[in-house]
Amino acid sequence: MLFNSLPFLLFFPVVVLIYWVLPCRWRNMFLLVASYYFYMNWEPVYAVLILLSSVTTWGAARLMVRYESRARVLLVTTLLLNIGILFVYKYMGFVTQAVHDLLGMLGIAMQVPQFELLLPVGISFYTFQAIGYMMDVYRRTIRPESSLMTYCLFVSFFPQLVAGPIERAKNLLPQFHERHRFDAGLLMTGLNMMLWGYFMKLCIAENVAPYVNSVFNNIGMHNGKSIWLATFFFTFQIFCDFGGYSLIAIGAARCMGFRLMQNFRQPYLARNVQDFWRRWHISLSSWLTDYVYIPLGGSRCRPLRHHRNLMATFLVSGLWHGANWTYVMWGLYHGVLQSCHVVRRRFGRIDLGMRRLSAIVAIAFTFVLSMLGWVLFRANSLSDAVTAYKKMASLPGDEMIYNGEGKPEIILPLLLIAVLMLREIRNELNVRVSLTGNRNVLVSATSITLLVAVIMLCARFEGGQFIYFQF
Amino acid sequence: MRRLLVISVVFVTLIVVIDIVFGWFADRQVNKRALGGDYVQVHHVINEFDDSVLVLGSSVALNSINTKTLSDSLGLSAYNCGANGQEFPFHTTMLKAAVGSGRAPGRVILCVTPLGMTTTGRGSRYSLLTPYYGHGIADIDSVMQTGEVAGGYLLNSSLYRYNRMWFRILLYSVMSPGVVGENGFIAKPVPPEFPARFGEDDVTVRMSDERRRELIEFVDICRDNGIALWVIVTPQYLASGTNYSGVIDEIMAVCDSCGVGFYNDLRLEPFNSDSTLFYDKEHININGSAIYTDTIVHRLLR
Repeated sequence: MLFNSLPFLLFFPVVVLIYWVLPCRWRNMFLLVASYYFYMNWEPVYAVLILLSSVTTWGAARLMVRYESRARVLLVTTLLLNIGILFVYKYMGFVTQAVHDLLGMLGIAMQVPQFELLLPVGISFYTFQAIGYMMDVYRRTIRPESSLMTYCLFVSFFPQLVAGPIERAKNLLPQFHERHRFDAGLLMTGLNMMLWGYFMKLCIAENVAPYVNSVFNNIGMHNGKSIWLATFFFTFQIFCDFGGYSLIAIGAARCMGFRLMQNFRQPYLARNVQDFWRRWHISLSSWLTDYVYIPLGGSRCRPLRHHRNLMATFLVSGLWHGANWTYVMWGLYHGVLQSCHVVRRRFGRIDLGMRRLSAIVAIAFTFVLSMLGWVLFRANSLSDAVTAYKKMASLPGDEMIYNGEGKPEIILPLLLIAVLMLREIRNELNVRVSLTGNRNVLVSATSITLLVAVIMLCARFEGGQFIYFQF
Repeated sequence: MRRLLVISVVFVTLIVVIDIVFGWFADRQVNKRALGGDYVQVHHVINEFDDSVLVLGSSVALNSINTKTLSDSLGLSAYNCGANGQEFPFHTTMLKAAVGSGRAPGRVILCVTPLGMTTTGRGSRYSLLTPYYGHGIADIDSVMQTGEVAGGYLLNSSLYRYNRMWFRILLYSVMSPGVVGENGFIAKPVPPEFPARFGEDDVTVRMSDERRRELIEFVDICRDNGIALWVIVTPQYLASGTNYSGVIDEIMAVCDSCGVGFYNDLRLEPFNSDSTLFYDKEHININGSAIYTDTIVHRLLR
C-alpha cells in the first residue's frame, strides 16, 4: 500500500480513529494487525520474512541476557541470519552476475545460476532496524523487550516499515509501553507534516520524474544542458521522494502519538560534505556511524586507518542502497569526498573574509558535489554515468531538449522547488513563523486550504512508487 | 479539540469556495480566449474547424506532415492536429469534435506507430482535454470518466480538473510554445546526434483488442460522414530485422476490409537509409518532414 494511493487515504483515517477509540491495552495489538495488513497488501508471502526476522531477533536477544557467556555467538548467529536473508533477496543476483562476468573476463565459460527473486519491499530498512536492536542489547545500551508482540510491532510499525526512518529501539520501543492520550494539537501537527510530505512527493518528485526518466533512460540522445537539468531535477526528486515519504511517515506516527526520529534536515543547505551526511537520511547515516564506522575505529586512529574507515562506511552505504555497481561507485564517491574533507580540515579553512558570502559559496559547492554524485545514483549503468559526465563537461550550445510534454513540465517544477527551498531556508534560519501551524485559527486554516489547493492543482496523481521502496 | 473542529470547518468552507471561484474563472478563460501551446490545435478543432484535410495522430503526425506545404500544394486547407504522447482515444475525440462542428473534413490522414497500436487505455496525456470536461463535448466527458476513481466524481472539482493544465494554459498565454508552424504543424529540430537504428530482429507484437475496436470505430465514423481516410505507419529508423509485421498486417487487414487506404512507410526510402532525416528513432526532423510531406502531396495528387 503506497502512501500516495487511495487505499492508504482510506486505511489511515480508519486506523487512527480505531486506535484512539480502543482501550490502551488493545492498541498495540491493533497496530500490529494493521501494520501486517499494510505490508501484506503488497505481497502477503513476504510478511513471513518480517515475522521470521522479528521472532528470531527477539528470541536471540532474550537468550543473550540469560546466557551471557554465549552472547557473542548468539549475536553473530542472528546477524548472519538477518544479513543472510538480505543477501539472498537483494545481493545474490548481483554477486552471481559479477562472478559470471569475472569468469568471462578470465576466459572461463561457466554457467553460473542466475537469481531473480522479487525484492521484498523495505527489507533493508527492517533488517537494519533488527540488527541495530541486537547490537544495542549486546552492548547493553537497552534491555531486551519482554513482549514478542511489542517487538514485532517495533519492527513492523506501518508508518516506517517500508522506507524508514530506521528507528532505534531506544527511541521507539519505550513509546509502545506509554499510555498515549489523544492530543488534537499533536494530530494537527502530524497532519501538517503529512501534507508537506505529500507536497514534496506529489508536486515535486512526481512532476520532475518524467523529465529525469526521459533523459537518464536515453542518455545518448541528450546534450549536456539536458543532462544538467535532469541531474538538477533528480537531486530534488530523490530528496522530495524520500524526504516526502519520511515526513508522511513521521506525521502519520505523530497522529497516533508516536515520535519518530527526524530523517532529513535541510540537506541541500549543508556547508560541506560531512555536514551533508548529518542532514541527509539521518537515521541511516547515524546507524552506519554507530554500528560500522565507530566499531571500525572511527576517527580516533591513525590517519590512514581513518580514511579506510570512511571508505568502508560509505561502501556499505552504497551497497545498502542497491545491488548495482552504480550504487557501489556512488558510495565510494562520497567516501572519497569525506576523505578529502578530512584532509582539507587538517590544513585549515579557506577564509574568504566575508562570512555570509563564504557560507553561500560553501552551500553552493556542496550542492554541486552532491548533485554530481546523484548522476551515479540515477544512471542505469556505469557506462551511462560516464557518458553523462562527459556530456555535462562538454556543455554544447545546442538548445535544451524537452520531452514530449514541453516547457510547462519544466517550469512548474522549478517554481515548486523554489517554494520548497524557501521553506528549507526558513527552517534553517529557525524562523518561527509558521503559516499552516499558526496559533491564529484563521491563518492556520487558510494556509492549510491553500496548500491543499496547490497540491490539487500541481500534483501528478499517477501513483508513482517511492524510489526508496526498492531498497 | 475545539481548534481542530474550527480549522476543519473553515478548511471545508474555504476549499469549496476556492474550487467554485477558480472553476468559474478558468472555464471563462477556456471559453472566451484562444489558448496557446498544445491547446492551439485542440482549440482550432473544437471551435474553429473548417478544413478539407485533417491530420491526426501522436507526435509522429505532428512532426511529420507539414500541413502548410500540403495546403499550398493542393490548394485545399489542411490542418495538423497531431499531439505529443497521445493515444488512440484522443484522435477519435478530435475526429468526433471536427465532425460535430458540422464542417467535417473531406479527408483524414491518421498517422500511427506499430507499438502505439499495441497499447491500451487513454494514456496519461489525455488529461490535456480536462478543461473541456463538462463543456458539452460528450466524447471528452465519457472518456474522462473511464478509469477515474469513484466514477469521475472528482472531475466535478475544478481544482482537480485543471490539475497542472492551468499552468500550461497560463504559461502559453504569456510565452511562445516554440517552433509553431502554420496549420498546426510543428517541426522537430535537427538533433546534435543522429539516432542509431533500434529494435530487435524477432519482434512479434499484436494489435490490442482495444485499439482494434477503436480503429474500426474510427473507420466507421469516417464512412458515416463521407470522409476519405488514409491510415499511415510513419517512418522509423529501424534495425534491419525489425518489421513489426504482426501488428502491421492486422492494421492492414482492418483497413482492407473497410476499404480504407493504408500506407506502410515504416521503411520508406530515403528515411530507411538516412539517419540525418530523423530527430530520434521514431520522429523525423525538419528536413525529413519536408521530404515526407512531398511524398504525401504526390500520393494525394495521384
